[in-house]
Amino acid sequence: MFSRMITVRRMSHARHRGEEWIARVSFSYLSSGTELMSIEPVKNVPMRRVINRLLEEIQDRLPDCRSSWWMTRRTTCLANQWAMVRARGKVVVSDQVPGAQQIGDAQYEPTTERLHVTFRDGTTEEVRLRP
Amino acid sequence: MSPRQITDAEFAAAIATGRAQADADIRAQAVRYVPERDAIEVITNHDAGFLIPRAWIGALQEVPTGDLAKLDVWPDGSAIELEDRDIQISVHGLLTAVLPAMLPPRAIAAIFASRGGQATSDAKKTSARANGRKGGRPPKRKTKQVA
Repeated sequence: MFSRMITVRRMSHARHRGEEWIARVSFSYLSSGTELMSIEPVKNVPMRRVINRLLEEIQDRLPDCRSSWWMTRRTTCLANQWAMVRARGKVVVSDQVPGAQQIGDAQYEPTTERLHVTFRDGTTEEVRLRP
Repeated sequence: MSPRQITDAEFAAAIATGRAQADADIRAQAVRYVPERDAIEVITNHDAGFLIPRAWIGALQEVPTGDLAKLDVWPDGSAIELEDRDIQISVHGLLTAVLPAMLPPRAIAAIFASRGGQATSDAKKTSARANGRKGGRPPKRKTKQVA
């Protein structure tokens, strides 16, 4: 039976130079959501609406974030994670459960916004991230 | 798609996570380039300091020395930065990477042993309680008895 969902996320930092705070925000190559991880330092914490606006901006520019991460790190950090292929081109990270496959490698193509996933058993899946 | 707005609880959790990270990580208070040693001086959150040869920091090896005067610390102390060159270096990552090179292996082993000995776990607590009920830790058995 399928248990809780996991999203493997990359964490990036947003720095506000005027107010001097840092927000750490995560994003994923397999889902479109963004998530606030932490804010520092406590003495400079911004208003919640400012953070919501930041998350909105990151979500709007998710292809840029994915592209920048890929260009500098050359990883999607999906290797060794377990995932389910729900349908052709639809891969969802999961726990290690019956039906799940372990990802061997996942390469990102920034120009076409496609993710090439190769599983440990040799099968491949192409995920189109552009809606 | 309009993203979900974060809740008060998520906002509070993010602040708490930030505070916990600040306590757990090595953070910088100040950074500067020391030209006479061609090294980077990092003052940490414990008012201690490290002098790291620039040659050990790959990202700064190609930077002209004149630009190194612009080294800056992030507001939370988690990274040092050269904004003009878009170079950001994690302070915790940098120091944990260079410390083994700064210390002799025996010193590192002694630190690990000391910290390991202070570690507590549920297994240790259970064992200590069981030994307490017996009146203390049982004496170690000698492998060979001499008549």
